[in-house]
Amino acid sequence: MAGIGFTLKRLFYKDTFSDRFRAYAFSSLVAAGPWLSAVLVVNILLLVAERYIMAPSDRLLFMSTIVYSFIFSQIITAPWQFVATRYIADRLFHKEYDYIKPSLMGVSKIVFTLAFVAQAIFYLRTPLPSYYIFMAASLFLILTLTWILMVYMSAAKDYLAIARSFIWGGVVTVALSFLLFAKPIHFPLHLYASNMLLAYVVGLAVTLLLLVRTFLVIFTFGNNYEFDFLRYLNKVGSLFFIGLFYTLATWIDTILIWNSEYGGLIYGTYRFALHYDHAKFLAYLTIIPTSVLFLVYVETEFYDKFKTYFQAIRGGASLAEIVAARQVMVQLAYRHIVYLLERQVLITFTVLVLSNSLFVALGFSVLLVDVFRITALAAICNAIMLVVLLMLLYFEARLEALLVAAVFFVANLVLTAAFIPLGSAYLGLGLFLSALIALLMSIWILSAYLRRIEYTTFTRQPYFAVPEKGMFISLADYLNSHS
Amino acid sequence: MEVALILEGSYPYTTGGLSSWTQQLMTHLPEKKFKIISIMPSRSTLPSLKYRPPSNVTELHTLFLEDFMLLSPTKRGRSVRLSTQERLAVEGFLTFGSDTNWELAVTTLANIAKVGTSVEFLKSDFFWEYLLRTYSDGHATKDFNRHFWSLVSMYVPLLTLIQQQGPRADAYHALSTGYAGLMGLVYKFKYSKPLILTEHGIYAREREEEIINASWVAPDFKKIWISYFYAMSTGVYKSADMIISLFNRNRDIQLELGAPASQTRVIPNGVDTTRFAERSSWDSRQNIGAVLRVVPIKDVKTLIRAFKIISSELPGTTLFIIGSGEEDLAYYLECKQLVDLLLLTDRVVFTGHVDIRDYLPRLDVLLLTSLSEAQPLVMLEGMAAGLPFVATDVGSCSELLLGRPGEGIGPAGIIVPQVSPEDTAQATIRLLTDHALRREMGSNARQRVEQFYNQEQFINSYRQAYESFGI
Repeated sequence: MAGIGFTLKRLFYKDTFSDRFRAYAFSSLVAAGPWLSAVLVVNILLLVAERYIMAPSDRLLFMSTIVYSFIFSQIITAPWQFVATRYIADRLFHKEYDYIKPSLMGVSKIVFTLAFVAQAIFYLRTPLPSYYIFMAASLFLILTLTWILMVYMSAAKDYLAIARSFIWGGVVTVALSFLLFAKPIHFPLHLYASNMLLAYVVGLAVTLLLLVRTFLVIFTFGNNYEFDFLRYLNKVGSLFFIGLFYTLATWIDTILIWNSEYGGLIYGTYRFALHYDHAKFLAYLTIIPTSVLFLVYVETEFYDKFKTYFQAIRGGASLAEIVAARQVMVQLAYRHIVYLLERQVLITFTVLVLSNSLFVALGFSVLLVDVFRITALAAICNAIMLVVLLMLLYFEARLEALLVAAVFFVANLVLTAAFIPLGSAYLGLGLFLSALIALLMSIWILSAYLRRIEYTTFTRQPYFAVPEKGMFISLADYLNSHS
Repeated sequence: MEVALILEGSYPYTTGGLSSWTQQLMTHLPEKKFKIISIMPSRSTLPSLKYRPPSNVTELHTLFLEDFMLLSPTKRGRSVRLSTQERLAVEGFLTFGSDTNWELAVTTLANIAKVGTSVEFLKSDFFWEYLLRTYSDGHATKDFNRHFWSLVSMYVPLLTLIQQQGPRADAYHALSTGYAGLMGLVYKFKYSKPLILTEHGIYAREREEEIINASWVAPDFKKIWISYFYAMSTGVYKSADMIISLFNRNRDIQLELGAPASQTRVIPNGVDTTRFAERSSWDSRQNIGAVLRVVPIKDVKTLIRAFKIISSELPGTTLFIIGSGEEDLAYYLECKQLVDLLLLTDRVVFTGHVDIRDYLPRLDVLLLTSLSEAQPLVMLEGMAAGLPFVATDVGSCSELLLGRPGEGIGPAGIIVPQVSPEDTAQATIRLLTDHALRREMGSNARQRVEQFYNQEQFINSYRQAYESFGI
């Protein structure tokens, strides 16, 4: 007799968890490394400049060029960084190495185009001389490409090569700046700013080239699917917005303050808020230890326990064994967060205590010290929040992570705007409070999530395989078939 | 007044006994209107129509077990709020419990507004909590991952099916338990209409045999799958308004599985004997026939091996394998290979799908080596044509060939054990060489069919059955 009960052989009983075995190579070091080098190099340049007669407006021009390049290159690249990180991790996990190189080309092309258009519009009506614009634009584009390449380099886990590239770039910049201060190229306008910028651009170009070289040594071969990664805009589109909101959130207070009574406009081109910009850059330097420590933890202990947990699930463990593995993993996650927080608080407070005399010795203004204090506290919250955010991403809690990033952004926007009229004493408070709110919320979400992780781990899997659909997936398929 | 016939993997998309039966029933009840609800595996593998539904069929509605593919597999779960009674019923249903309130369970789960789509429901806290509870009830040391996926795999198609809309009719007539019977239950409760069940084989038994032999089911989950199919059957037995079987042996099994005796009755199949001319000549060439779909359950390989023995003893014989081979092409090719391997290529004819009346007059004896049968129409048709049978003791075959007590008609064939080429061959040789025996059994066959398995009785019984529900 007929019956179809058992034609269901193609059941969806498959290994659904293997995709989880990948690290989010996107670590905060990706952001921290260049940050460190940039701030150090810029400060050295400025110190060098102190020795020469340099118009304050030239210094400001130089500073602003760097600040703009940094902030906006990050805003443009961060969304793509998050998506590319996941794409690379997946491809590496499945040992599809030939997808890596073309995807770098594809991402770079897109981001380069975006950055190019953005800066073309920006510099269109500036009164700055064309050679300065050319160098500033080069800086912006080089930085943009560097951020993208950093994702690929950290996926390859060749941190030493990354460090080496930045150190060499820094050395070139510093050496060249000494040379150029002694025998400056005679630019008609903004003599020193132009020379400093030249030194900096050349140094960063060296860094980029070194990074590219290392990349090409690691990923020799590639297929033609440069835009295959676009499908991830559909698959994990939330990552794009996590990157966007997180970066926007980190800088929206700066942008608001530029446009407030505390900000100014230099050469009709850059907005700035001298003390705020300087203080915030310095403050964010203090969280580098957290970034590095987090990377170390994730790469070693936590990833281990994370793997154990999912291997328990895959390997046929009983529920009790799975729960036990989860408890070990969760405890470790919390221990790491607490540990990072302790360290960071200790470091930040030490710096804060020292900062008064240090800054006075360096001749910084009192306002800068005040802003530095509050933004250093904000930086703690921001750093720990990023750690929690990345943990959420480890557990595929993308919507939760997106919520945190979005709350951070909206809170910073609203609070900073609200505090600006209250006076200079409130500068930075908006950033601090919003980072604190986002941090508390992220911890709350993570703990709620981890409490129910078995439920979410199982029920958030697709229950059966259907062909993926979406605009970007069709686009990627189309481009793949025409390449 | 309309009856909706519910079938699973059958009419009008595949050929076979149940499909022919369905066509016969509808054609000979021209005064009734029918709708067909055909449950098939998937849209992508839907075969072409194999039957032209008669003009009294007003609608063909096809449901697909794999239609869950149309849902989003990543949709988040939703919160499911149920009253205590609903919860107990739903949990009873999920656990395949014996004292489930089927009506409440089925209507609750079919209510998408209440429980969400099948995917949403299976991703809900409600289901998760249920899963944890049942897991710790009996499986606490077992592979949780597999437990989870096995249950989800089981429930996704089932619940998706329950949630499908079906055509309205004045009565629903399921032609098996399983998914067809379950849909019958859904419509019965949803639309408050009577449900009639006709079971040709015993669905749960058949699935059980399949599962036991299925290599892809982990041993500890075979039990769950088997209880799943038994539970589906029991639910239908307990709720159907009339339960029909083809012969007594199956009725006994239905009773054993929970069917209330008062609802059961036996209506045997029937053939139109006037379509089959009585045998006039008995000294033709020695042609052996087997009418079947070439599928493993018919054990065509034993048939071929038996024929090897026959043909070495009676070199002039030919075997006609009459029926379609397209349902299981791999098996069909294996059978053809076996024929070649045994050097029988020019002695075995695969006819494909044909009108068997063109072949029956040329045959001398029919073979049936099936591992499982209900009340095979092909046997009734062969008997109507006055042909003796060699058949395995499956379904009602022995009842058909040897007769029920007190019939007063002699045997119409020889019963042999399953998977036994030697016994099958010897019995066939006996019939082929003993002309008197063959003639006697052939006329017994025709007589029995004319008397007890004729189409008129069969159709009248169903007419009465429908009329008892006012249709």
